[in-house]
Amino acid sequence: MGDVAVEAIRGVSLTVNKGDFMAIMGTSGSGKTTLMNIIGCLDTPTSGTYILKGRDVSAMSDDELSVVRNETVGFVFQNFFLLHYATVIENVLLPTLYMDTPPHGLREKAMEILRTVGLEDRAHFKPRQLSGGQQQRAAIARALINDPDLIICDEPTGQLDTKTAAEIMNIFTALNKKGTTIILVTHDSNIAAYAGNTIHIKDGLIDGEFNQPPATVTIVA
Amino acid sequence: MTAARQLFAQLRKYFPKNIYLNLTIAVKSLGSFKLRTFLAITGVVLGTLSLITVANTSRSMELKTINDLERFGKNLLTVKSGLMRGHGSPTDLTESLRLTPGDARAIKESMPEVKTVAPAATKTFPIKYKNTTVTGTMMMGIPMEFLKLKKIPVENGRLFTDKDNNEMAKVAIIGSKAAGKLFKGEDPIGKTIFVNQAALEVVEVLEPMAVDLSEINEDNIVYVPLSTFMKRLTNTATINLIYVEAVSEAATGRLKREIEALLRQRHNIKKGERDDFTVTDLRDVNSMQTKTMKIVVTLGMITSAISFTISSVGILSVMILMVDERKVEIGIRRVVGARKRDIALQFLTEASFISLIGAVAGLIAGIALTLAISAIAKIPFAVSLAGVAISFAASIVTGIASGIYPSIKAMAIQPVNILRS
Repeated sequence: MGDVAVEAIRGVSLTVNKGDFMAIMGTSGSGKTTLMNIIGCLDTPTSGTYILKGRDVSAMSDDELSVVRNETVGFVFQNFFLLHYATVIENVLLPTLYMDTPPHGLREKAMEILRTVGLEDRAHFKPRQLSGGQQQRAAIARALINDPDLIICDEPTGQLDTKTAAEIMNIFTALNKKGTTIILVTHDSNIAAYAGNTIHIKDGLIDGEFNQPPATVTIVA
Repeated sequence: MTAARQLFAQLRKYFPKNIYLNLTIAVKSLGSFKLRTFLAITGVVLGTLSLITVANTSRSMELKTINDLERFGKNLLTVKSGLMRGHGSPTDLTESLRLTPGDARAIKESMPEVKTVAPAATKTFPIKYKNTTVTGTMMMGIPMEFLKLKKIPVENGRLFTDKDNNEMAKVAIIGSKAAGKLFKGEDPIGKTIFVNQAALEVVEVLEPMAVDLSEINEDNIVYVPLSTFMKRLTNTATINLIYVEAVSEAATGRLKREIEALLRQRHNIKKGERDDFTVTDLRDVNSMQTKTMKIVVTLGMITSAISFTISSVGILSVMILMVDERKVEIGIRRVVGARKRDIALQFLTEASFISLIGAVAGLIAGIALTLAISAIAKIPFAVSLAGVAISFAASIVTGIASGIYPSIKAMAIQPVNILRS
């Protein structure tokens, strides 16, 4: 296309273990979003390797990546990204549309998850009838419906006030305590403080480390 | 209410859960584009309407033909004096008056495959009852056999007898329309009407029968015995119609040729000269009607094809807009695990769904319109299953065809680009 190849991230070598709660920090343009997209299987690296649960994801096709996202990864975004015309429970069930063999009792399971995030009485509301914090809880429930090994949160509290942000972060902490691996992308050190360990990305490199290609990202999950 | 809900819950058990969820989400997403969806389906509605209407009407005509054949018998031939219109010079249109009751007798006596022969004569006379004079009503002289052949039932009065015919009785049977015009609600039975200075007693009023296959409005006829007609009304020895019923359907074609040969011989028509009579097989009349109907059906099909084409453009543009406005939704679906083909399938399904709703609406409108047509034209009402099947197939094809391009556009959307904002 004639574009100049921009190296958003260069020599990031990173290992995330099962049950980790890792924060990735960095200013905008630091490459943390690109790193998150690769970790979340939304994008593949032009070079280097990414091993997720023992499988090399970096060479997978678009379809295979979709299956991995569906089965292994849950996403929580700053803008919630709920379908506004569907109810909360339908939003939560959205990932199950793309399961190979959806098990029975999904609706009951969705209600159970909504109960754990404190939204059981809002299951049949539309997202616009909910507060920001409630919408983010719905998004978390959607991320949990397929029992992911890994949850990726991209500025999950960016739209929320401090009190609500703390409530949301407590949900993540509780999930992590139960064994879910969480990767939190943020530029807010107060939020990053909820994580067990933090890495800083600067100019496509992990700050304070000696980075050298080839890059490898390993998530044991 | 609870019973309905229970039934619904039962149905859902048999329905794969994610298809159900997919459909409810699709319906809701279309719900946020109501006006556009409505405009897009209009073409499908019109296309289905026109297709269903012609298919149903054509089926009704078929049924009418079958009914007519049942009523008159499949084996009926009519011999008419004169030539049919449309052949040769305009002078041929003048009616030849050479058909006689003798011809009818000759047919009956020389052909074993003939079951019944009914010679008849028609002429239009002014008919008078008290101070009312009606013109334009046909008088028809008929033998006993005619009533049997037409399977005319007795209502309140009586039909003609052999005695009536032998004695040139001054009796008349009147059609329902003629009765309405002459008597205006009075009971006609036993009353006297005057035709060409003959006083005729009304002995029977017929049930409405509508237009028969020989294109005579049977409801606007006054029947008298043939002998009465020939002696008291016209005073001629000629007739203009002979109805011939064959013993079997297979014999009808043979009989037609035999009658033609016999009458040519009796009328001294030499080789190369034109016949002064026409033998018509009712099935020929039917096949002419069928041909006319086929033209109507073809026109309807073309109209419907145009509507479906316009509609597919409509659905196409609505779907393109929808894909554009739902980029974020597509991104989210991709993030949570939708493959490109799932996204394509979703938009194809939605396009077909829009089209199918149009087909259902068009079907209902088409059936309503056919009901109206069959009531007005007095033909039996019928729903053509083939028509229904074709319009549903056409609407789904329209939906899928117009969903292809938007689906390709939707597949190209990458979640990474959408979620960056």
